[in-house]
Amino acid sequence: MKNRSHLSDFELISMLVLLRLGDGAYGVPIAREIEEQTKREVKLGSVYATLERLEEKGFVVSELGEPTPERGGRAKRYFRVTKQGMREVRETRQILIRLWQGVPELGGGLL
Amino acid sequence: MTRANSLQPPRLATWLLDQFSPVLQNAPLAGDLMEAFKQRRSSSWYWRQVFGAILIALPSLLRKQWGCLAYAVGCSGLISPAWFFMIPGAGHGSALPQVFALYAKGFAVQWPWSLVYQIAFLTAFQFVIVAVALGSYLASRMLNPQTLLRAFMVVVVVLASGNVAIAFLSVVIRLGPLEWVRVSTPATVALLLGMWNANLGSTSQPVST
Repeated sequence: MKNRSHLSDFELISMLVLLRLGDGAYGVPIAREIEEQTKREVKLGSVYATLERLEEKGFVVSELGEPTPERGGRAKRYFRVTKQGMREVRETRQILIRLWQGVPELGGGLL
Repeated sequence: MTRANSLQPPRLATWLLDQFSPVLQNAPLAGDLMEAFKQRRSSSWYWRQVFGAILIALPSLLRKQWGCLAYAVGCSGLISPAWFFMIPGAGHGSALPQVFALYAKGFAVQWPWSLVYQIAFLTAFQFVIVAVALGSYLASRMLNPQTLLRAFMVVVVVLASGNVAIAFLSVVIRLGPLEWVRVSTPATVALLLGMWNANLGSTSQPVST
């Protein structure tokens, strides 16, 4: 049995949002997409904390863009999912599907 | 308020975040908040985000900067005994009657000026000790005068705002035996932010617009 930590729900949501957004995913659109999908206000600080944790695990990489005056001279930080991150998302999906299938109250399958 | 001003996020919140951004090494977060604010977000949203960002980052930040934290706690820990040595509670004599007499002048004026006087007195006292501690910490570093001035300005602003906040909080929360917290906590935070600011503030300043 593998000895590693699983993705938390917010980590999984963040990874899926990164995959949905594709290239050019940075803080503002990531937070907006999470809010639209979850219908909850999210803190950009928690988005960054989560993405940095994922980066430490090797599931996400980031790079800085050019500073722009509209952002008070601060650069954007672009994030994307690595191959290792993709594998992790797929494995998590498989685990969730197996778990769902074992719960008759939920119809025994995905929506 | 002009249209141009309404598109600018609260300056104080941005300033607060900028104090942490160098040590958080996360200027893009501050840029994202500014960009999102300009997309019709409210000031209260901006404040919530700034406080959230700081609170979320604080535990890991303190782990990384434990040396600074220990120094700040140690130095500001001296403030409470020194303060209560000079300004003891009711029924106790002050070890420094002249200083106490100066402090007691605040009792003669009407509220809220008496409160303003007491906060200013406490802030000045804390500043003396924090300035010595910060000066000792920075003595061996070659810093430009602007960075030094900025660090000391941070100390003054944090001490004053911290003392005001605690004065209002103490109306609803009785500190009792934890009275020393009222005196030491703003000094700990002020010294910590002053050190971080001087250490790292000059290395990643945002580009001014």
